[in-house]
Amino acid sequence: MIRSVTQDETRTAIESIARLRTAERAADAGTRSQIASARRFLERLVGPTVRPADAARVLGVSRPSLKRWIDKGEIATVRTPTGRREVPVSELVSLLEELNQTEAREGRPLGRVLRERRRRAEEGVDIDRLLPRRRSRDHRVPELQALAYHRLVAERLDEKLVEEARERLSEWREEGRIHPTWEERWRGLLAQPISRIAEILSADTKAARALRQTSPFVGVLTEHERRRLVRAVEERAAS
Amino acid sequence: MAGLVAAARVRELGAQAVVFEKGTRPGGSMLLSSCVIWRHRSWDELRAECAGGDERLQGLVWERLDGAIEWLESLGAPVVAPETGNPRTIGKRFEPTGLTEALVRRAGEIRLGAPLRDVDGPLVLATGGFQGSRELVERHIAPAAPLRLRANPWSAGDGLRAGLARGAALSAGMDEFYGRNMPDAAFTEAEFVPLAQLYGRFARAFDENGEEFFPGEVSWSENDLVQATARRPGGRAWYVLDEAALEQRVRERTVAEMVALAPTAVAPDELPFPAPPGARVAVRVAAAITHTIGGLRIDDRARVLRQDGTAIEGLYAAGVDAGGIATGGYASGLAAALVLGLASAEDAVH
Repeated sequence: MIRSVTQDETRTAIESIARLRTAERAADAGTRSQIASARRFLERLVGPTVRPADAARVLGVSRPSLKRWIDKGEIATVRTPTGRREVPVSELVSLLEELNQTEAREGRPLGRVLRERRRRAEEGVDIDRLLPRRRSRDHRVPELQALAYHRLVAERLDEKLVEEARERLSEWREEGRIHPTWEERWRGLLAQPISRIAEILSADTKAARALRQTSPFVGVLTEHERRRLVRAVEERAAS
Repeated sequence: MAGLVAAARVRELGAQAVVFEKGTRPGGSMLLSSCVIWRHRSWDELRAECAGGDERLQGLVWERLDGAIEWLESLGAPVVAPETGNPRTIGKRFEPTGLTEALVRRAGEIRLGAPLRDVDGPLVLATGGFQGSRELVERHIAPAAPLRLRANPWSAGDGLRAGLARGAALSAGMDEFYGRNMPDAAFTEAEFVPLAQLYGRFARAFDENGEEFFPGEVSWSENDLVQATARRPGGRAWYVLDEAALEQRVRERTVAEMVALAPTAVAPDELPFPAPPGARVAVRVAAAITHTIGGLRIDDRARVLRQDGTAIEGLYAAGVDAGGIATGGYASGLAAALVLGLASAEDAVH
């Protein structure tokens, strides 16, 4: 980069990423991988997170409104290496995609999208369905969280999610974020039919537990869903 | 590291902390380490490997580490490798100077050259173990003593003594330690990591009398071989290597490259016993202690415990001063320092 990205460019890039993601879902395999490479270029340009002020512009809301939603936990934030609270671009993109679908209607669209998301998350996560019936002493809470997460992913698994997981493995290899041993194991699994992948993602075995510790299926659930799941498992473990 | 982490977390929670640092610089043994902070990938494997350790403490470190590493990163600690390089473990490698600086920025007041002393209010013992005390090593780790020191010189059991004086109990595994076999020659702090002879799994290990003393499989951390070496005459061993062994790789280096750095490498005919067939080179190594594994007994809030299991009011131990986590095997000392530092701070403030 010879200069930093301006605020307007950030907004345009994030809007483009959201539109490209929507287009990817409708496209055939060949077109999809071409759209994906353009999307990834934009994602690298923008970086993983943006400041709340930029997020408010992208979502078309005031900064106090955004802050209210962040404080209520309706919009996820993460802490950056410099200690600031920022909004993940993936969160903005998923909100924008939903906003684009409701845009034609009247009222305050973001509020409605968030309400809808809350309703879905509450209905969608039936924690008892996602966990082993009997909890043995060997199960640690993070292992149960990863199991519940992947069982939910398995229910939604399709070719596109598998392809995205493969792409993420390639990115991680380039960035040195995954040990070659685990990259190979995941590649081997992702070459299997969807039903088999779903079976291993949901398996409560030693080998599957170790595999799920470094999973290319991160980011498949929205941050809101993921946090709800994590809390639900913690609550169940404490009871 | 544990002391800096505790102070940084105390201040983040809105309370005040003072760090008494006996040495001339902050950072303890963390600053001299390769700075990989890790946990076992699999809980089952941790339990199998460190079977003598306290399961609750192991669970605390194992469950909290990923979040704790994120917390370190949020302080601006520089990551040099986002992955450990070991398929059995999960964690990150930090740059030790940058990590120390990031913690020092948050830790508030640090008094250098100031040994542990009585204070009003909660006290976190984080003096880094007792490997720097010849007397304590001799008492607890015998017959291994004296061992070469591969750590900062200030971690000499001040925390252990202070805890015992207030009625603390000792943990399991007081005779165990984590260390590396180093060339049996003088080495400096800067050589702790590059000179470590971490290829024992490819070598045949003989003691001074020519007895092959570790015929079984060496664990991946090689800590079992190092502890066995410590218990041979003089705490020494000869690593004898054949052609195939020299070609093996450990991380980014070949065994031949690691041997080339050792000032105690000799030709097989210079061995004090008949060389085994196929030997190409031999290296005289000595067990060096990085940190003790036994220490004060604590609970999962890092509170120091008495023999009857009750907690001593306002007294905590974190990092190597807390014992009984990796007993029987080896688990990341920095991970225990980080998680127990956080846990002690949180309990002390609340």
